[in-house]
Amino acid sequence: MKLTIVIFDGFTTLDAIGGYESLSRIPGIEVEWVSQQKGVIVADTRAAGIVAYRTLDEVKETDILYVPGGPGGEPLETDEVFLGHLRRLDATSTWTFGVCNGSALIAAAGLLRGRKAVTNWFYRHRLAEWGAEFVAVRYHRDGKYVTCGGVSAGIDGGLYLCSLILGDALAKTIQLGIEYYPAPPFPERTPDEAPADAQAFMHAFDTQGGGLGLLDLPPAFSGEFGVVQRSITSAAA
Amino acid sequence: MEISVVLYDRFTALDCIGPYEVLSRIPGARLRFLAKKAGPVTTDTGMLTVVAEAALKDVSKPEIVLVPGGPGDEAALADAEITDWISKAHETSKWTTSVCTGALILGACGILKGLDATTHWASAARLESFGARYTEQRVVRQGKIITGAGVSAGIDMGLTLAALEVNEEFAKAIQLGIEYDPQPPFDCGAPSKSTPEIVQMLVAMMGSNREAAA
Repeated sequence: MKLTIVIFDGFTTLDAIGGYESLSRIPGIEVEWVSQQKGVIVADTRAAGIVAYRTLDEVKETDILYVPGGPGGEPLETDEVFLGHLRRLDATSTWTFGVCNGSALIAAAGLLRGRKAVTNWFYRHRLAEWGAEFVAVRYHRDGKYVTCGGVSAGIDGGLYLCSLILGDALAKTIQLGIEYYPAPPFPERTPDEAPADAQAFMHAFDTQGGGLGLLDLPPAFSGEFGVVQRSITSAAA
Repeated sequence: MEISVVLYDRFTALDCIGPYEVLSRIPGARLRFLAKKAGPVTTDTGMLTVVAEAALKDVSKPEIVLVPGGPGDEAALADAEITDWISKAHETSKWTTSVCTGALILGACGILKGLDATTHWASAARLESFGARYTEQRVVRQGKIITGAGVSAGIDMGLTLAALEVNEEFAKAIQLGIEYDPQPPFDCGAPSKSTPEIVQMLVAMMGSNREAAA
């Protein structure tokens, strides 16, 4: 079984890692990180980079298509080449998984028309533009599409997808392995219940990298790594 | 504010990406992933490569040190270049933190002697071998040292630290920003919430992972 995680300049790291951490524990799974180009793909904060092993062009098919979000997703909503790749890979996928506004990208590709889906709270009004109906839940399954709320919701949705693929016992084992009995230091509440100033701050954070124009900053990383380490041997050795 | 995240071969990604997602948003923070050498570092699954922006030797006196865990923990704690750097950084740090078995590496630096600390539940005995008292909590603070339990607990640790370092309002805004309103599909994330069969299955899986890594 192959898991293809599509990353792009300005993705949000936890969107991708939250679900990856459980799905990559599926016995025998092969994980590949892909982007428009090979090399270091820099996250929204400009402080983290993940290596894309392959380009989207090179991926012929996959079993699980995973699309994280992030402020860098917004320009891709009208990028027909990128959306075309999502449509093409979705055509063969057993599951298509979106986190945060990654769900919006799946919707923008036309794949959620007539379906119910969830995306990050501040993006919920957008789904209707692509014919999908927003549901206010942590994660949601509609057919083969599993979509999640913002950022950390990929952890919950990833474990849920594990349970669909593996059954409850193995999914529970993975949840125990990542010690997921969350205890946030502050009372859980939905974004709608948050004070208006916090909502405004976070809206800027989600859409513009904290309103700081982070995406206009030069990436902290440059250069490409010709040989990507996929084995367990040390990259530094 | 300089925040240093110490990467090493076969670390667990979520251990550090959870708190990274919180701490990198601190105004004025410069969070950097470090490793013995700048460049690609492979995680425990062998299927994810995260980039270290700089080498350990390029950074001195960070205000916050964060050490993740992972199956590469034992190799890292036996590596004097890594432990010397952490020990030295701890002398001047404002906060020294770990997630999961990153606590074992702090332990090997002699930082946790006589202190309460937490780690991944499966490594409790190993943590105590460094003179720490394993405490079954998600986040444990002892002065400037904060340890988080296994993997996903790094998010809780990061939010706790953000509240201490900035203030509660900031930490709450970030918690909202990452929509941390968790609703796990099962209530089984700790051994005490799980069944013996599930615990046994996991211990067996983790054992084979460690053998493969050895």
